[in-house]
Amino acid sequence: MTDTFSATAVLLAQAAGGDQRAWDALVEQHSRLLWAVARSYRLDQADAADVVQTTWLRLVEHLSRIEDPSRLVGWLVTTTRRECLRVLRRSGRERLVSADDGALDLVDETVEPLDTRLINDERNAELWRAFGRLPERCQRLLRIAVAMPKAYDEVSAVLGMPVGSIGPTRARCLARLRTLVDGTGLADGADTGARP
Amino acid sequence: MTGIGEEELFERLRLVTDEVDPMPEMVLVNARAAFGLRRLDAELAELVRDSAEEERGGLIAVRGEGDARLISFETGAIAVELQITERGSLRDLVAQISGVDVGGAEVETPTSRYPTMLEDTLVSVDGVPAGHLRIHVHTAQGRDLVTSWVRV
Repeated sequence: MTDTFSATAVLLAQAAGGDQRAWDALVEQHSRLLWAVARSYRLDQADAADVVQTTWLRLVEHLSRIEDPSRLVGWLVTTTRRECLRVLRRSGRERLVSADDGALDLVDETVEPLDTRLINDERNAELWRAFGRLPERCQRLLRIAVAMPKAYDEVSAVLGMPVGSIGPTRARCLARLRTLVDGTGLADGADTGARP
Repeated sequence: MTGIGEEELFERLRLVTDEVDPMPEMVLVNARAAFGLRRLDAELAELVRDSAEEERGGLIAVRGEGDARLISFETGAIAVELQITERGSLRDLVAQISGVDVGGAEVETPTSRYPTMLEDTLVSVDGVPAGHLRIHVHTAQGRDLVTSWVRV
């Protein structure tokens, strides 16, 4: 952890000094997480790309003023989240976000159609469909968790949830996902691998 | 239960996510290019208020065609009040700049610049494409000022 933080501090200092390669390294390290955050708010690809770009433009503006490099990722994630909310408010989709009352057990029945055409493996397509039926907060948590498995602090920032509850909530969301997957027969794995 | 373990499920979810929703390469290309837009010589006016973020009595303001969005930027005693009107995929902009004598201003997008009309403390330009932009103000005293980037 400390090594990661000090490496980030070095990259930030180099970028602040005008080093494009250091900047590129920061971009490459963190863009995937920011993409996951934006997509977890159900922004379409174009909006998600714009939101991630807004975040990087903001960092360029503030490059010389980041006082605590160890908080860079949290800053990036928080900035991305704020931009997502701005887009949602602007398009009148805010209730998708505000209906957050910790309703982790409610299956989301308002799912958007998921594009599973790209998935060759039928078991993976089933998994993706099951994922789409998870409550929105579970989807958000898992999207960010798969982009950055150890990012409990960042998940906490995005979900407005205490860090200590991320682990248990993640486990609960995965259990929920497994239940949905089990309902499809998918989880029988090898036993039914040769389904007709 | 013959089901797979949750950590295995997590790993499969990671693979499926990469497969179904990979980050477009353009996101990285644009993010790298953002570095070239840094202005060390210009003072930054920070975004302090955006009508697109405001709620009215807990209800979401309903947006209609032609509604203007108001965004405020400040640095010290200088304030920029930007009014944006949507016209399809184009934006008409008017900005009131106070606290400083304005010598001129342009609207910058990540790839272009648009000259503005200056009238006293008002600058305006019509037909800027929707997307990211900032206002670059040249003060009469020769200082440069840029607003924070906004997506409009």
